[in-house]
Amino acid sequence: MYSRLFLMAIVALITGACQEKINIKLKNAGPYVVIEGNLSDNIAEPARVFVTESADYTDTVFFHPLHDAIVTISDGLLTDTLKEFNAMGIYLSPNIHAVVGKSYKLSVFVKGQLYESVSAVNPPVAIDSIYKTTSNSNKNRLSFNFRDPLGVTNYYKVGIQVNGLERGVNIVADDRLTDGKLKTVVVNPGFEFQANDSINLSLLSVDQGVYTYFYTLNQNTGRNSGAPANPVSNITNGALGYFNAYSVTTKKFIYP
Amino acid sequence: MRKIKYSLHCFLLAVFIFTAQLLAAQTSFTISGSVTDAGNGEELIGTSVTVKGSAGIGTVANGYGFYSLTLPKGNYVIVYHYLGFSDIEKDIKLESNQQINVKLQQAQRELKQVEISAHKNDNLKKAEMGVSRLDMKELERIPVFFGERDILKSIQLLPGVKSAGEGNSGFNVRGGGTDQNLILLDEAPVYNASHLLGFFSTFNSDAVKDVTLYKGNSPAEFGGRLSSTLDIKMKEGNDKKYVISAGIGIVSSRLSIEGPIVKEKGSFIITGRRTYADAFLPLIPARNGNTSFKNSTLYFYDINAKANYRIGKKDRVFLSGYFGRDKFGIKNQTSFSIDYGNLTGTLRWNHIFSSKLFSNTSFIVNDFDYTVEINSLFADLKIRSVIFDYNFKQDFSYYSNAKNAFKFGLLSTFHTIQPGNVVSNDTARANRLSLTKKYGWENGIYVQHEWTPNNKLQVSTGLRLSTFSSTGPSTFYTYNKEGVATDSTYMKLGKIGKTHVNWEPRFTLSYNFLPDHSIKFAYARNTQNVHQLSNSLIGSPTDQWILSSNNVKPEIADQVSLGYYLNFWKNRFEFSIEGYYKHLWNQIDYKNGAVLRANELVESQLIYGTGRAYGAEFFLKKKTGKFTGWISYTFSRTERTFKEINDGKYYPAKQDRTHDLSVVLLYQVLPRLSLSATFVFYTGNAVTFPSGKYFVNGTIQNVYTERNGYRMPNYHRLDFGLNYDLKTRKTFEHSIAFSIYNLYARKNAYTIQFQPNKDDPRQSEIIMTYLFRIVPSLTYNLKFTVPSSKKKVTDVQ
Repeated sequence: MYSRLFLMAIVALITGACQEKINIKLKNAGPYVVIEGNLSDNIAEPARVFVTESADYTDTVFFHPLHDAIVTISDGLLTDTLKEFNAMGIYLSPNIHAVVGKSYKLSVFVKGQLYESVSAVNPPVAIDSIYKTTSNSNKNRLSFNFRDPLGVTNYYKVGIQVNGLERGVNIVADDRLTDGKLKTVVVNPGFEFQANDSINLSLLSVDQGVYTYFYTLNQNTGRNSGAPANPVSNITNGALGYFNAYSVTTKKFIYP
Repeated sequence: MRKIKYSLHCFLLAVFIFTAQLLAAQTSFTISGSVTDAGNGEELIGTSVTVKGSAGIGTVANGYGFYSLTLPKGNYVIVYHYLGFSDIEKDIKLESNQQINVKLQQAQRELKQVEISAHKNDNLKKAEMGVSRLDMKELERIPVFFGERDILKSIQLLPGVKSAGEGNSGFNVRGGGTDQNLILLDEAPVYNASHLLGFFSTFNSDAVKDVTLYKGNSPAEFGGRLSSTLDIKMKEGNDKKYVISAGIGIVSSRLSIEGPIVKEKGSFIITGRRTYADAFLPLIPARNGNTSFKNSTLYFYDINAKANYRIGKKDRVFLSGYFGRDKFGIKNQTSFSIDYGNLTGTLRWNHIFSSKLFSNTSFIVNDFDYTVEINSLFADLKIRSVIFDYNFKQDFSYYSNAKNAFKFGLLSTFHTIQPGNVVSNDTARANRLSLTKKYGWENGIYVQHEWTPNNKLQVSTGLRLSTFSSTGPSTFYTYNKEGVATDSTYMKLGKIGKTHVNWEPRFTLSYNFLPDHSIKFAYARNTQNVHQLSNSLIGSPTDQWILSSNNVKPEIADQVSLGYYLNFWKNRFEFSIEGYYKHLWNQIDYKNGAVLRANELVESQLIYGTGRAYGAEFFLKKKTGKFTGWISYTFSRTERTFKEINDGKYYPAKQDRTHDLSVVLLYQVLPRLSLSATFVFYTGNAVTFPSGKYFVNGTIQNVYTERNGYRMPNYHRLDFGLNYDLKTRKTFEHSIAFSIYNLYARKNAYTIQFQPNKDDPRQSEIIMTYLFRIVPSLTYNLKFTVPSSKKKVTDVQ
């Protein structure tokens, strides 16, 4: 990933590459059902499932909410039904939370189809320290360290709130090369941090299915990718999106 | 093992039949010898040696300039012909075997324009199809890119050969992948033939004598890649005089020194080249406070060296080598560098056993390796990968009589692949990761028979037996259907594991039914046991090579082709149409989301499918006169099918291009001034574009529905070139070459991205990146010849 960006930078450097906006007529396919389910071990966070449909590429909206879906999460013994919260396709329940070591099954019945997914909750890992870094082009970044537990396979996802607002970042990490080490993650979102930003950083322990989803999602964002494809989802029946039952640790940081 | 034994029996039987045929020869004698350039002593590969008045009887000098022609007792006039040289005719009274070494004089330019003769239709008679030879003289005049003549970019102007991308030296032949070309430099395989991410090829054209491309119908002596063989032979060096030549360009310079070791017995040549693109890096203005270019490295260099020596009349030894490196680096908070290159070495021994039997023995080593270093906050590590081969090659040519010739021999290669090992300098941050080295032993035994029953028909039949064995010490894994490793076996040093055996028949027939017309038919099977895994748009030097194994089967391709050839207007023009159909088995791709790098279980990430490619290639060439050049047009389809992609339906491969047109025009305005132009047009590559978008994790993502369902915009470009020879003296020549790449500044799409607008994410944008507008370049070439001590000074060029 990193080397690809580097190679592209070299190409641009040698050639003085330029960019231009163009129009291409795209075949519109779909719509496709998109399901995004999150179940945290933090009891302050309700279980939430976002049920939507994909939009045409040229649409000015990027999703269409789906209503009247039957959404349930089960831990094998108890099944909880999530209620549609607003007209945006968000389904919530304050009654169910992730418990480390357990697996959860999400079922969504919508538009006559049943979509299912299972996600397992792994033990939380604490954030060690957070500090300011800058990129090679002097962009404001943020980095943090944590100690990877030795001898177990771990997968991580990063969550970030800036001044109380959740920002979408698709950063995931594994410990394939760093088992038991002090690991550093550079947070490189699509925006710049400002001085005095109040940042709430979370480190989610996720399972392999969730990690693979985001890993494959990020492969498409590389400009040099040979053939982009939809990420590998842990939801059945061809739905786009993922279901993530996780444990989380958070740490506050005021951007210097 | 049993399979091999059976195969060997069959092979020996075939050899026996051929030998029996040899014994049936009548009382006749053999003329043999070598053909060289009188000016510098270079062998003239492919010189035709014919008998005047007996159409169809003759031979062709081999890759070492050796020829042998056996004729019944009698009187003959033997004609030696090589394009661009004056013919030599020898009267021969054949009563015993004779050795005749011939030196051809280069024709004067004025002469060249009028020379037209009847026997120059070798292209019609020869039982070879899909073969292109690059004329190195022509190459000097074609417009260039950044001032560097490039053989790999020039072959892309030939029918059936497609560029892998803008300014790229990678190429696709008849729908094959870029890794399916066997690129040989003095018989040594070159795994990565590109410098500077493909903008330059590894071959310094100053060091190159002969370039032949076989588009899937290679003679049986070549094997190991599916789509083509590109046989590049380095110059031997002038064996009469010392010559120094140099070229000074905007981004690179070249220097070459050649001369005799012992006059007319041995010679050497050393050529070197270096780019200095990074000298300009500090000039790049800091953008957005980005100053990283100041500390960057970006250059390549390469050295070709060769020496040869004749020991007596029957033996000759050659030692040749290539060494090239590319270095890129950025030093900053995050430092990153890549260092990669090829190394090849070839030691050869030619021996003439008899006037009819020629032998060549080669020991070859080749290496490709890269090192990536990352030094940043999160890691301080080094990734290193090496491919190393030892090769032994033994080839025999037996010129039985004027109607029959045989070639047979073997090639044995021992491959070692060290996949990207991760060496962490800071073990507090990352672990070392050592991947199992892979070893493979590849063998090929072949026999080929060239038969000319009469002056109209020529038949070439070949058979190659290819084997590939995984060998220890290494660990081999077994995977279940889901790609999970279920078992692993460790094989000790010297143990031979899974062996793949393949027969590769090759057949070509040429029928010269009218004096200027011929038709040809060919069939060939090729197999491949080294495979490259690439998931990038432009090939990257870090793309991994893997070997066939218990999981990965050899790739196989069958190609049939049919062609019609016509020479007209007294051989001034050459025209051909070749149609081909190729079927490819065991093609390799990877799963969605595959982890290819630093993965011990990389074979679990692969999927296997089939491919098909078909097309028609049209070629029209004007060979002589002030105005020369060619038009090549290819109509083709290239498709792949994998169970896991597009529901198993055939889809266009990335390199599928319906139309591909190249026009090359060369005009000799004055004896010292030539102009040239090339025009290229091709259908855009097949690509995957989104067909919708959705919202997930607070980000907008694209929906993809089918692999390669869209096309890049059509590509076209016009280049212009000018060559002017400055005042020339006997010992000193110099010239300037001026080129303009992309004369009308076409913005050819390099990549197309689909992304939300930065300011208004509800709006989705399509952004096209293009690399070049107009690229002018200027090169100054000079050549200095040390005057010969002899009175008579022969003209060099």
